[in-house]
Amino acid sequence: MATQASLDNPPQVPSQTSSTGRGFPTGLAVLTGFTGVMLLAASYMVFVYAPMERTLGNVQRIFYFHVASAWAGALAFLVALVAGIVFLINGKMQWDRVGKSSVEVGLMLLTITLTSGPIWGQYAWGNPWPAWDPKLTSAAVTWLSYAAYLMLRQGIDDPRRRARFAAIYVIIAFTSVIFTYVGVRFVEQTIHPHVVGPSASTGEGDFGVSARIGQTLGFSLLTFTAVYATLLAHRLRLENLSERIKQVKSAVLARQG
Amino acid sequence: MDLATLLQQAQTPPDTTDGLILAYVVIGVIGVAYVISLILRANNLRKDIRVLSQIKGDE
Repeated sequence: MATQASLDNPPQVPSQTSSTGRGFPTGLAVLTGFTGVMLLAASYMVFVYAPMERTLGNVQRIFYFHVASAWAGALAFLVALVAGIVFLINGKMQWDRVGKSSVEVGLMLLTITLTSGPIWGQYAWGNPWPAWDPKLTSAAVTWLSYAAYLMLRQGIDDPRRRARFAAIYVIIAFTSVIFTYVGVRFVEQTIHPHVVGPSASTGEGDFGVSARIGQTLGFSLLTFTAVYATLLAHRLRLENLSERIKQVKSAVLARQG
Repeated sequence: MDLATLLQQAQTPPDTTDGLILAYVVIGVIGVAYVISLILRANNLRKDIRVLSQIKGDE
């Protein structure tokens, strides 16, 4: 039926040109430029505006992008969760594409968190990855869960079955995000300090947040939110374009066959 | 060494700039690698569009 519909009304070949002439729409170009400026401003605040921390020295400045990327990663997985739920309700494939794109960007952001953290840990704890620390372990489990999501998607050919599986998977996988970001607060044994609220008694590497440190952290959080939104928009645009090309290819092959 | 020097040393932050540079290089490499992957994927899709346009033109 779908093939017959494609033959009767073949999809158009997507256009390469855009309102900017550079391959993407004006709104996306503005968002990308705005995010670039924010990244530059955030870098200035991290390296120049924020004061040096007395106990750890310059390495404490890792904290700003480490926390911000962790926040944006969690936001990405939350968006994927919402997209999965909406897909299960209305069955529109667009939501599957939102979920997939958001998970991919979120995984990249969580990779930044998981690689920058151990460098800080080496100086703060004398160990980049204290074995079986609840926060670190659950963050690693979260990363693996979403990496598996992208891999497992490739194993299902039928798009609607794949989308349904993916939607259910992200709902289950989000439990690891809840534990990493919220649940671990109720576990006393973690060495990882909490940014918001008091750390556990076993936490190490905690420090007071002065006004400039707070402003820099706040701006970094906003910047990484913008980075996430921009990358999601670009990734989603590619996903939509790829989908349209697949439809045109199917129509062309059906006509030639 | 007198007490004032010892106090000054105790209050001087350690030089951990190496760690800072390493972390931001790693963050930069991951970010840039992802952006490059997006650009490469976009270029591949553009090639597909060109091929499909040619096929459509031939028809």
